Amino acid sequence: MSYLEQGKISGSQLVILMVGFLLGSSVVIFPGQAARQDAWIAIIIGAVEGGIFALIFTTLARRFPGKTMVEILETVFSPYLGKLIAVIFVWYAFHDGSFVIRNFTDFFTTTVMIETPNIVFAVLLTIVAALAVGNGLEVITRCSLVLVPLTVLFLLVTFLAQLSQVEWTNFLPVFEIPVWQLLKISHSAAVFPFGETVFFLMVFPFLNRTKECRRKTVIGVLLGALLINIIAWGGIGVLGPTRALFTYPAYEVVKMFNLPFINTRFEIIVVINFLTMGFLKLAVLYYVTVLGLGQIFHLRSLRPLIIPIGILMIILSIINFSGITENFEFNTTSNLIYSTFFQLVIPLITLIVAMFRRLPRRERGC
Amino acid sequence: MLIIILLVFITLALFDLPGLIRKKYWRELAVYSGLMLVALVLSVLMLLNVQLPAVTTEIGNFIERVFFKKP
Repeated sequence: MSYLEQGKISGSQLVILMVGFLLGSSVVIFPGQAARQDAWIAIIIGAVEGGIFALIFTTLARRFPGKTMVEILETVFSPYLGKLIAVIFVWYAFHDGSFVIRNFTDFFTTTVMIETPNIVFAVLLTIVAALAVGNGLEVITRCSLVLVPLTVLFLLVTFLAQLSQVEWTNFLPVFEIPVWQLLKISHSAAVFPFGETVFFLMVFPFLNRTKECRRKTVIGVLLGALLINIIAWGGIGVLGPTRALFTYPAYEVVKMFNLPFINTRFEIIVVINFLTMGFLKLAVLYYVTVLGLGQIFHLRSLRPLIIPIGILMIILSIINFSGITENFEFNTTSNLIYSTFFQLVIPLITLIVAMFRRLPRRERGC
Repeated sequence: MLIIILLVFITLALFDLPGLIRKKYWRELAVYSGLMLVALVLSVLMLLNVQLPAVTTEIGNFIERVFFKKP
């Protein structure tokens, strides 16, 4: 048991936190958009693939109850090699956090507040996330208990309200693109966002009952897939082929609302969704980075890490790409391999090595 | 502008440094100072409009060169 985090969360809290984490940036950029009207199929296949990733890394977590990913790596590999791999793993969380900040600032500066500089949103979001991280895992989880039901409610309300505008022919023809390409797009949906649940390897030890982690992760991924599919259905049904013109289809869908007797301009609902879910996703990634780094250096307190990591994350979010197109290009090409390495290869190799070394050794006396 | 950045960093350091020194957390202090120095240097470089490498684009280019055999 780690002394850096005394908090405990229950299984159902983990599910809600995971749903919020999965919704994250997906509330505005739903995955699998390259599959056009088959995006919803790509999301389902992607969720199944993400579920398979989840089975692998939860097997690892169940093998080492009470240990975070960093401690597992240090146990399975030697302390030095394990630390090296742990640094790479923590880098991935850090890098992913900077993506969230970048998506967040890009969204706000292209849709809502066009004349405000990027850095304002980055700093404000990071300050709020830093406060949550400073208060520990339990506080982040409790934030999710308030924010996720609100977002789900908003999603369902907007979905029901846009049903009248759905053109059902927009879903046809089904399976238009070749299977091989569909699988490739599904894989991009699997690595973003479903496979990203691999970061919960740093959270599982703080569950009340660690053995529950596999069932709860699978439930979380399925619920997340359903909610993301609701967003995708709206995007496909309402916008149709014009969807390709927009950077943020989910936002445009709600912008097209025209309900009787009620004022329009509902799109702020999508902004609120992204505001809350982006915060939640960033808070989890920020927390994983801080906790991971603290365990790598064997620190006695996490507080001194919070401010520098936050500043570095903001800086990385700015220098990540030179433009928004590079962001989308990275997500559709190189990220398929880059993320798979962290989400599948590292947990799988760790599991195999642990099996061969018969770790963890039972106290049996030899 | 440079002075503002320095002031911000000094203010942030005043949050954490006294506690660390009082409790004699030297290892934490070393990690903290290292990360803060990197952050300070990068912020000043960005302020001076130095072209920093686009990290993710470079990672993407590297992966494409290795796996997709692009020049």
